[in-house]
Amino acid sequence: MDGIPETAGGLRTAFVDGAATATAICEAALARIAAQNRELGAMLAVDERAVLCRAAVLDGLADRRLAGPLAGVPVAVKDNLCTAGLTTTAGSRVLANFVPPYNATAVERLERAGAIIVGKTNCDEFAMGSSSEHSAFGPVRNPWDHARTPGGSSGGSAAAVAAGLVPIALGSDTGGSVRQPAALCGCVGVRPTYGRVSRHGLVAFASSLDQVGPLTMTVRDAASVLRVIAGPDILDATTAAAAVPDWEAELGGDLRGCRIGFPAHLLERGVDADVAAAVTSAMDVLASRGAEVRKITLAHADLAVPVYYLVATAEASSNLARYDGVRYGHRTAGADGLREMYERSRAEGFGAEVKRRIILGTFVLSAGYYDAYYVKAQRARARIAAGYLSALAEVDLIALPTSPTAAFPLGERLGDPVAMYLSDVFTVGASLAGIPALSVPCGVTGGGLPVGLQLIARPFDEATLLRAADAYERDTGFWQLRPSGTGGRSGA
Amino acid sequence: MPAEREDFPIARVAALARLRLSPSEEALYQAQIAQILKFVGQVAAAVDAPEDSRGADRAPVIERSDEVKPSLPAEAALANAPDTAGATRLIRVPKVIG
Repeated sequence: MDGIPETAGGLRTAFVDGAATATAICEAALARIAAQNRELGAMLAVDERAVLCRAAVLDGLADRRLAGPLAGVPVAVKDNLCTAGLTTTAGSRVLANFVPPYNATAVERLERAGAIIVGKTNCDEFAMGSSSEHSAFGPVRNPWDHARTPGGSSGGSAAAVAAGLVPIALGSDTGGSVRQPAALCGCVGVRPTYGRVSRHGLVAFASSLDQVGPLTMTVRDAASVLRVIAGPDILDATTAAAAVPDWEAELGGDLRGCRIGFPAHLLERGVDADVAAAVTSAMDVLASRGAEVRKITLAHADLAVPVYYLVATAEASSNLARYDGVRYGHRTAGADGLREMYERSRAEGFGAEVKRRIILGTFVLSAGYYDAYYVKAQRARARIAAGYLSALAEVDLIALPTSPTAAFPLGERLGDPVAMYLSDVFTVGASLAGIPALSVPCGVTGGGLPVGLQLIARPFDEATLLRAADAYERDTGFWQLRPSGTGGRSGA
Repeated sequence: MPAEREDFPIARVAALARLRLSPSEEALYQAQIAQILKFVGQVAAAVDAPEDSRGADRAPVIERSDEVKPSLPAEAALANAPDTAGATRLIRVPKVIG
């Protein structure tokens, strides 16, 4: 790929050693974006001038070793994370012209670590979707097959990494929006423990579930990015005081002593045969690295999708009440009164999926239905979380497919919301429980599409998660499989 | 929990959500929400079980001191407002009382 190392770690080393300038690294990334993005639709705003100015500043440093752990590395950021001075739309017409006056904390920390924000990535509107088709700015296409979705909602971030536009992207994961697109695009995606990474500057969807996480080519890069963005933040009261370990330093070992629970019963229905085979085969690889793999039962897992769609839509209806056309965002032209302005601004600004979720969320919170839906969903959420924590008292990790299918054709599930929601069947559980999880490539289907293995850990035990995924990745090398036309080994 | 609502009150809920829907949108969402409510109905059966006595988990409350601290300048905070009243730092909206 342009003779420049494609991982973030490789790029940082090349920059620090003087083998490459930040300017050359960024020019190569901008050239790849220019060549591929018209077809992929992965990137929205890209400010080339600002990117090259920042690169020139880094190139001018007297000692590049002091520039930080991500020095000279180009990064793309999901368009629901605020970037000062750079349009942040969240994939919505409502915010089409919104230019934030501040950076999200995760963005601020990336820049402090020497990373260069090259642009914003396309996504489902307000992160509501599993296919990146619900963007006001057009769908994202999967680099492995342009007729298929990259997953969602962080589909632009996953496609940008998979196509080699950038080595790192940030996404947000509410019910699987980092892990599922990572799986469908053949890259690594991490959802940290709830509270591990600040949500300040993340456009809110469902506040008890939203988390910011990295998408990368390798587990090592994910560990490096996570260390940069994690940690308490005075601007987000839900961040935890837990220490942030040097996860990268703990990689490289085997899995002796690691107990992995495999709820094989959940793969018996609704899972593509190629996906089930790849994940089952991954259990053998993990065992060969020294892990003890045992079959487990995961209680209440069947409730996770319906509970998620009750809780998340309730919170979304409340969070999105702020888009009223008054202080920022789209305002309708020519409304006669205040209420008409609210109703028409929102009707014109929101897309179909967002309206559907606002309506459902408003209903389940409304008088007469709150106890019947929302309160019961919260009780069920507690049971689901208890089921995961009970399983994790017996094992160190839980292994599941990330997605029941590989990438599906564009348009296939747009007319059937429930079918689309079931794309998240294996990811929403960890979200509801607030525990960390990641997706790592575990092979390809007969049709040459990537499959993701999901690993889930105890709260704040990202270390075990990353160690196991790294051992698996080193043993299999699936991360080197790339879509044709982007370099690397093709999976087809 | 009602398992299914063919008579989902779409107009009332849209009004609560401050969303003006077209007749075709009302028809579409009415049918789709009924389908979704049927799907999520299984939650009721699970938590209606007699052994269930647990409430929703409560997250710990994290507090910080109530102090005035530096913040965004008013100009920056208002820069994205659709209609401001010149230098007055006010946002203009349509009439509230007819």
